[in-house]
Amino acid sequence: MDSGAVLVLAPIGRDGPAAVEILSRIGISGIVCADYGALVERLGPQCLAVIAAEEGLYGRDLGDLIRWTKDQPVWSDLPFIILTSHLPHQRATAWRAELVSSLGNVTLLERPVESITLTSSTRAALRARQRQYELRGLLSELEHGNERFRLIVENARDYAIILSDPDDLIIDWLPGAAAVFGWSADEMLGKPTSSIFTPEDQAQGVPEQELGRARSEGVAPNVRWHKTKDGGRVFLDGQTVALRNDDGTIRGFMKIGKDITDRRRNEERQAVLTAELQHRVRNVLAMVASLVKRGDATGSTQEFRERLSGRIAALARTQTLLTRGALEGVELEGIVRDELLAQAADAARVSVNGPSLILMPKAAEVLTLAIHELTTNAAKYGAIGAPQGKLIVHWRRQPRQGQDWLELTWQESGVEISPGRQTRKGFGTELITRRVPFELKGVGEMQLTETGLLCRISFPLQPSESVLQTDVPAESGKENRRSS
Amino acid sequence: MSFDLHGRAVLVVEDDFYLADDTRQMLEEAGAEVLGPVSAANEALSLLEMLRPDYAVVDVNLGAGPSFGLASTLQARGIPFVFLTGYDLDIVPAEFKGVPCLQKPVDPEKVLVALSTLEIGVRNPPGR
Repeated sequence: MDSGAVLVLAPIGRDGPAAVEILSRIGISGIVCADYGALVERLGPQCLAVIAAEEGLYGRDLGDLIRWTKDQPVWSDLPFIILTSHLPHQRATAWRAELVSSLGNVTLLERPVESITLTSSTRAALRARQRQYELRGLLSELEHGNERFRLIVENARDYAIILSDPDDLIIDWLPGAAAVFGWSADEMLGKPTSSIFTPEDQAQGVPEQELGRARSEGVAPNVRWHKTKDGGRVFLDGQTVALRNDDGTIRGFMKIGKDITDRRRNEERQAVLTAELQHRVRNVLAMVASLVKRGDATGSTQEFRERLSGRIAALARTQTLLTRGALEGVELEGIVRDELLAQAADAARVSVNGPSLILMPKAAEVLTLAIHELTTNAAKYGAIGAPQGKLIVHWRRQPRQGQDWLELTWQESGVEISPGRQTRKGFGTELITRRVPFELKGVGEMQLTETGLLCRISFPLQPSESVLQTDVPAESGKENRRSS
Repeated sequence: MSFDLHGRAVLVVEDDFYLADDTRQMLEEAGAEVLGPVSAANEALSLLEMLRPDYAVVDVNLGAGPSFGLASTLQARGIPFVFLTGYDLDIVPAEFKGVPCLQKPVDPEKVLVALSTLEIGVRNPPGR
């Protein structure tokens, strides 16, 4: 491989070696080419310049040389120094003109040539060639840089990058944008960038405000929900940058944003859960305060304390069940059996039956307390405590006016009821006869029959819902979940 | 704290029975006529079709998350009210900035105090 040499074509006499000799004195290496064919063979990017005597070219088919010259890479314009010959005059003029125009970068030196003329022309040619090499280096760096940026930009799939013109019509819709929004470049090129904003934001003029801010401040934050091709929503955290020409006029806009939909949804869920937790803690405390306030003040402090701690324990049991996980209601039979167990009711004298049924939080809470009151009451004054007492608890689902109702019956028997005795108007009675209608929109009745207490509780069953979804603030946006 | 609500009708909207009942009792002891208590916004709205309370006490969460539709209706009809909430106070939208807001668990006396500030507003309406 010849590196950095001047090719010299001067086939007649000593002109070739003489020229190489002159060049070498000023530190330029030259290579003598024996004939036109040898010259064409040695042409290449490493070639610094060509010094050729006309007689080496005249009369040859210069097609290969001219073609090579034309096919040079964009940075290359090989300098030719042509030494004139005494050619037959008329034809020479036209041939020379043709040669000069075909080779392009030509310096014509008329013979005889002073060595200073040759060396200065060659130096000038080499300087020009050096500039071409520098340009080659810059071009290659640019290409590498572009390639790197292209790779980065095309592989950043979580980042939507969109370029638009001064009117904000999309001119570049990169693969990240296609991955985030679902639309292909073909679908989006030429559309206004505002078409990725939600209809609400479009109606409020948000796209225009954002562009206005990018125009005046250079950059506008773009942190909001956008719409996607499938009708869903995607949350972008990014910005819109105004791109300017050297004279300061707007060349267009670049919108770049990271898809943080999942993080955003988690944050929203966290906020909802935190608010819910706060709400629940306050509610539980309010409820405990009510239990204390409404405790029957008759009897000893000891009795009051026992009743209160029993009620708080019943409340705690529901809370434990309800907060065990999302989508968790409480099984009705479990509520009933837990309370009977807590009073050590004799299983042989108790019958519990009804369909399997999951109660939603509010109903579970009220019913747990109601069963608790009925059970403690039965242990003290009724069927659980009485040696011959019997207790039947049964329930069913019953449609009423297009809604499913729960009808629960608590029936005690074998209890000696002294004539004239009334049901106690205490906490339990209030709970069943007043709280059930108020909170569950149902009916609660208590009556003493000849053989014991009969209680009926009925209320409409709510369509199933998660405990963690009740009493939860509605999501702030009304975004659809993305299908991805 | 004694505060006379004689001759005043107060609508109570609260989905917790005990809190609703405590509030009712406390208001009645202060001489008020209590409308309700009701536990749902739609019950309150149908009550408002027939009756016009002087004030209202409104729970922010009536079982389905915070809601302010009833509050807007009250505001539109010029019925002064106080909010009760189990949430942070910042959950109340800006349009209800002037509405007294009590956090649960609520001391019933505080409801009376809050109503008294409404009473002053009614007796000395702004703009006079």
